[in-house]
This record gives sequence, structure tokens and C-alpha cells, in this order.
Amino acid sequence: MTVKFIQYWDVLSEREDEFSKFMVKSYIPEINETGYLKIVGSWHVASGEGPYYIMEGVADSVKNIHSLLQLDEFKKLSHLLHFLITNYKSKLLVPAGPIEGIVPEDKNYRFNHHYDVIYDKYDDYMAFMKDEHLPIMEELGIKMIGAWYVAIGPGPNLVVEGASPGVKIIMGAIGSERYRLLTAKLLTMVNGFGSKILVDTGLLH
Amino acid sequence: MPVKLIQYWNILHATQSEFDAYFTREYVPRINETGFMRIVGSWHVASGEGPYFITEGVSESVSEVESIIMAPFYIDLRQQLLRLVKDYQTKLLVPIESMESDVVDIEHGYKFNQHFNINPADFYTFLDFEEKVHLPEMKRFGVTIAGGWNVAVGATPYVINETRAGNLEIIGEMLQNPAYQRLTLELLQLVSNYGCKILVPSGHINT
Repeated sequence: MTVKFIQYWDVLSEREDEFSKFMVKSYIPEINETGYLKIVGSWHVASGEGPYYIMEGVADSVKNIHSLLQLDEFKKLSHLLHFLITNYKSKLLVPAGPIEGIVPEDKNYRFNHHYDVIYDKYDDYMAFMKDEHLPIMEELGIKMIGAWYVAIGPGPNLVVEGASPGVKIIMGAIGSERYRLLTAKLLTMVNGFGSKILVDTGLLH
Repeated sequence: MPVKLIQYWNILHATQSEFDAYFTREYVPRINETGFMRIVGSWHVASGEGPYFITEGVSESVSEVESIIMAPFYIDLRQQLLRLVKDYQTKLLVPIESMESDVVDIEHGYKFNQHFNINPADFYTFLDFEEKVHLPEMKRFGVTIAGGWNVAVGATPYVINETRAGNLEIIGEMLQNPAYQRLTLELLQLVSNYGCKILVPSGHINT
């Protein structure tokens, strides 16, 4: 079962260059070398709430994440990272259905929703996601690439990820009447709705 | 000195049609009739944190806002509104002195708003950066500057930079432009608690 380990932070003032070097030369490659987690995304929040940096890692199981967190190498990397950043938080995401989690290979931008599903609307929500939300978002040019529960970390408890080859496509979607109606319906089933547009930092390439 | 009263809420799902009727036929017209405040826009948060519905009112002064919010008719209007919505919040915004505010009768188009706290040690550097770098560069991406506001009453972050765009493509092009990303990184050296919102017209007032 694929799981995600997401880390969030803001870089301290005047430490941007040092941070970028540390990410590229130490943090990302050394985490990847452990074999427990693969860093697949490094993002800026172009629209939405901070923290401004998001690091996206994928693992084969929750056990792999636990193994990573206990490694001395990771603890050392984490210690060094905290000299350069502030507002750190992390989340462990596990699949929620009904959207299968995939990692797009091509350059992409993300449009993610987050919210809590209203308990007694859960069945309606799942049917809505499968039958309406997913197909309509894809028709609007946003490929749905995962729906995740926050197993560990701050809420809201559900993250639904979309990907698009350009921010202009995302803008076209969010300005459309179909998206407005879709969101109005979604809001009848969820609380604490919010969204983020993420752009690649370039640190992975 | 124009000031803004911003109201935020989520509509209770069972009352959407009742809300639409109440908001457009009663709430907005009755506030506008007072002459103390004009509702210039109502928005959906297309990207960013909720609440999802935002109403934007403009007054000539803080005392005019006070005249409205203390008036018995307004308290009654708000009570009726609160039957139809949840997560209600308000903010009173006053202009940042060094920035000119462009207030309009009715908002058209879209908004891209940034909000943050200025690092205390960087306050004067921030003002200089805003005037000479940040705002001029934002204009180059095609957005117009609607104003810079301090949150006088309400939840922080306490600075809001408002920009307008005639269409969402302009905002989209800006967000994926590496020059915009570098500009934002420069801003982040001087501020904390940064976030932003893309607002689209809700269709109740402005389109």
C-alpha cells in the first residue's frame, strides 16, 4: 500500500541559498538512498496557506516511514534542516479511495483540496467523488492523482490531489460554471474546505 | 480614508436557495440603502483557505462602519443571515498609509490577495521593497494593485495586499512564472505567516 510522507516548512530569512544547497546535495539524495522513502515532489504554495515549502515523499508502507524516522541518518538530516527552516510540520497520508494514488512522471502543477467529510454524508461523498467529481475534474483538465487520509498529523483529515500540465488549465477549471457547481455540491458533504495550487521548486531537477 | 468590512462564511447546505434570495434581495440592498456602506463584491475562494464565501463592503470611514454595525436594523439583518450560514467571521481593514487604495463601486473580474505579517525587524525594508520592487513587479505580471490593507479588527495575518485581474489566465501565467516565484521568495525574507487566495465572483453582486 503506497503511503505519502509530506513535510511543510518556511525557509528562514537569508538562508535560502544554504537551504537549496542542503536540499540538493544532502537532504533529498540521502533520504532517497535509505530506500525507505522516495522524494517525488518539491513544491511552492503558489496559492493557498503556508507553510510555503512542501516536500512530497512516497513509501511502500507505513512501516517504511517508521523505519526512516528511526534512522540515525534521518535524525541527523532533520536536525540540520531545522537550522534553516521554521514552521515545520509533517503528515503521514494513507489511501482513502476512491481515487487511486499515482505519481505523474511529467512536469506538472498541483491543485489539491483538503477538508473533513461530514460523518453521516460519507456514503454520498464516496459516490459523488467516483461518479461526478473525478470525471468532471478530468474533463476540466485536472487529472485526479490521489485521495488520502491524514493518518498522522494536523487536519483537515482528507487531501485530494489533482495534477495539471499548466496553471492556466487550473485557472480555466476554477473559473468555470461546472467547477462552481461541483464545489457547491462538495460543500454540502464536507467541512473545513480549502485548496492549494502548488508549483515545482525545481530542487528535484 | 476608505475602509473595508470583510465578512466570511460558509452557507448551510440546506439553505442555499434561501440564502441566495435573502442575500441579493434583502441583505445587500438594505446595507447599501443606508449610505454608510456599499457592498462592492461577493466572492468564492477558488484557491486558498475557507470560509468559502466572502463579502466585501466599503465605507468612507471607521465611524461609518460603526454606524452600520451598531444599528438595530443591521443587528437584525445579521441575525437573519446567521440562520443561513456558519463559520461567520469579519475583518475591518484600514489602508496602509504608504499605499494608494483603488476602491470601485462594483468589483469586476477576479482577485489575487496575499496576506502576511511583516517581520518587526524588517518593517522599513519591507515598505521600501513594496514600493520599489514588489508592487511594480506584480503590475508587470498583468495584475492591477487594488490596495494594501491592515487588519484593524479581526484575525491576523494583519497585512493584505489586494490585486485584480481581468481574467484568471493572467493569474495563472503569473503563478507559474519563475520570476513571480523569485519575487515571492524575496517577499518571504521580510514576512511571516504568508498565504494567498484567488477569489472568483460568487455571482450574487459582481460577475
